[in-house]
Amino acid sequence: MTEKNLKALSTLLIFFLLDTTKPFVYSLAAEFTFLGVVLVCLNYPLKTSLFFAVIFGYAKDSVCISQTNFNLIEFIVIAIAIHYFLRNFHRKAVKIMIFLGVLIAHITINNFYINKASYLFSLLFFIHSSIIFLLMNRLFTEFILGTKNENVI
Amino acid sequence: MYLPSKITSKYLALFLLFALLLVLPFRSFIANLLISFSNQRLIATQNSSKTIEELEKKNLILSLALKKNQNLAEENEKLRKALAFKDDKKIDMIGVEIASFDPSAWRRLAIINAGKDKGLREGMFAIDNDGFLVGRIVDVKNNFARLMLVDDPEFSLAVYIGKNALGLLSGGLDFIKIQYIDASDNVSLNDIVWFKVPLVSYPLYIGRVRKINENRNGLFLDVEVKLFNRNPLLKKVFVLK
Repeated sequence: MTEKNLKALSTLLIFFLLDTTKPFVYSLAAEFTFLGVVLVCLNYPLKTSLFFAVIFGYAKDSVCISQTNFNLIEFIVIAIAIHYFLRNFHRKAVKIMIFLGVLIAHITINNFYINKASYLFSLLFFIHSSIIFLLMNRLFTEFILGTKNENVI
Repeated sequence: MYLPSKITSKYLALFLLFALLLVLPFRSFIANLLISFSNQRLIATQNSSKTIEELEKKNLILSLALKKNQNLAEENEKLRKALAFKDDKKIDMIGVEIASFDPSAWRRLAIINAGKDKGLREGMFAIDNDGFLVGRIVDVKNNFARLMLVDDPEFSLAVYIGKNALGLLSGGLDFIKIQYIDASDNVSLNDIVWFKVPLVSYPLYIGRVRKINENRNGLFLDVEVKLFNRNPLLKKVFVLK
């Protein structure tokens, strides 16, 4: 495993710990693991993205109460979908559009999953996740990838 | 012959006459003295008799009340047996800490650091430091358990509003609602939402009625609840055993 992959793994581990410990409890409506997986998928090749998606999807499912592999399937689909769009669209703002699309899809799927339409929470989740993703992206590109990736958002 | 008895009787008669003459002026005084003494005795006797009478009355009333209560207790016991009621349990709880949370933001589940090893079972209720309901245990493992918080979308519980309105509280990420409340139940704003823990006869408070919407197309009211327990940094809870 290369240094770049190790950095991504450690970052995702920290995000996963943040999700489970929830230092802000339920004041912050965001899922760090989900955002981290999206970030990795946007910046890493398909194989590495799938690897991380499987590991953290499985880890999240094992901590969740539900017996289904909902997160595992969702993360794998996200990884494949992101790489599909990255392969077929080459505009500068494509990554932000992909992120927003994935976020809206995640919100919609989870509303169906809990069998309740939570409009206010969904809006809050969208806003919080967008802001955190913006900050995470800056940190990720500058400190982990070691470059100022202007192509990402 | 010398007869001292005759002389003695004369002197005795003279002494008695003298004594009578001496006492005669003090007759009224002696009479007053005797009367006052007897009055004092009489008053004292009357007072004590009144006190005794009152005490006896009280005693009688209390003994009647005791009998009545004994009868009621017996009747209550018979009715409890007839209705198969169970005896009230004493409050027993265990303090546990929240170890972690469900990583999904769409669920409100906490993992607590006690499980079967501490005698926890599914369905037990957890309260905070102020005694307000926090949630219910839904999954128990050997050394940890999952606590479903009141605002989880899958949380549901039969609750009372105010005195006698009964409804079904269902959690949610946006609002916590109470369903199946009839318009005739006279529910008003700020009514306390509470529920009775099974086998224990004391209420646990959940929150207050925040909003009441009349559903024109439905039979029931839409009641929104504001939780008492809104501690964002919840770390320790007490599980009622």
